[in-house]
Amino acid sequence: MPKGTTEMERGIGEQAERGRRLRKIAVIGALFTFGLVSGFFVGHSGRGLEALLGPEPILSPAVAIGLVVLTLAATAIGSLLLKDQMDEVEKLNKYKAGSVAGSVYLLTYMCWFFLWKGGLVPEPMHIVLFLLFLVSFFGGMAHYRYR
Amino acid sequence: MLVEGDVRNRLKVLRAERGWSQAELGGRLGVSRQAVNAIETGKYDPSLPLAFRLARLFAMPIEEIFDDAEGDD
Repeated sequence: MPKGTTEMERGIGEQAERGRRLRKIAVIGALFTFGLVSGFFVGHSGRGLEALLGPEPILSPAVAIGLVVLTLAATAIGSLLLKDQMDEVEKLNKYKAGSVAGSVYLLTYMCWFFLWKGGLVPEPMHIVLFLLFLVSFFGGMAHYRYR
Repeated sequence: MLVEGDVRNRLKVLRAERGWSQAELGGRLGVSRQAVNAIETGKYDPSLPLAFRLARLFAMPIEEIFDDAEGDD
């Protein structure tokens, strides 16, 4: 038996690792549920996709401000809770993925802007750039985790 | 110049000697199983605090766990 280890102690690490993993899943699951519910709430304004993506307001100012406050609060609380559950490798992977996604966003916007000004394409769409950022971020996360 | 992956380590051997899984070692260190795997395979060089935690856990000096390629020159 290696020094500093007893048979009784074997498995305590696996239990701790499992607990940490489950706590992380719980926090991410709660944030995901919040995002899903708020997205569903906004998406089902009853005016269709065109209204959702169009320039006209579809929410009352109070509801819009309420959603902003809830989003910021959920993000702040979630970040604090996740901070203790993520190790340095996960944090580094997130920094890298964030950097990749930010670069994709900036380059896409710049190219789209030039093409738009050249009369070749429609005006840049925020929702498309937002979704592109998300896809790039999660793609980056998967790449750095499973490479 | 040292780059990521230039630091070799004996983590896999030391872990195997104790009969620990990657998850077991990760739990004892406070990191994920994926982090242990990344260190073992040389995809990630641990921070100094994590290297010290490893040294304490295995009750041996850091240089007996990690070895940089420049030491061979």
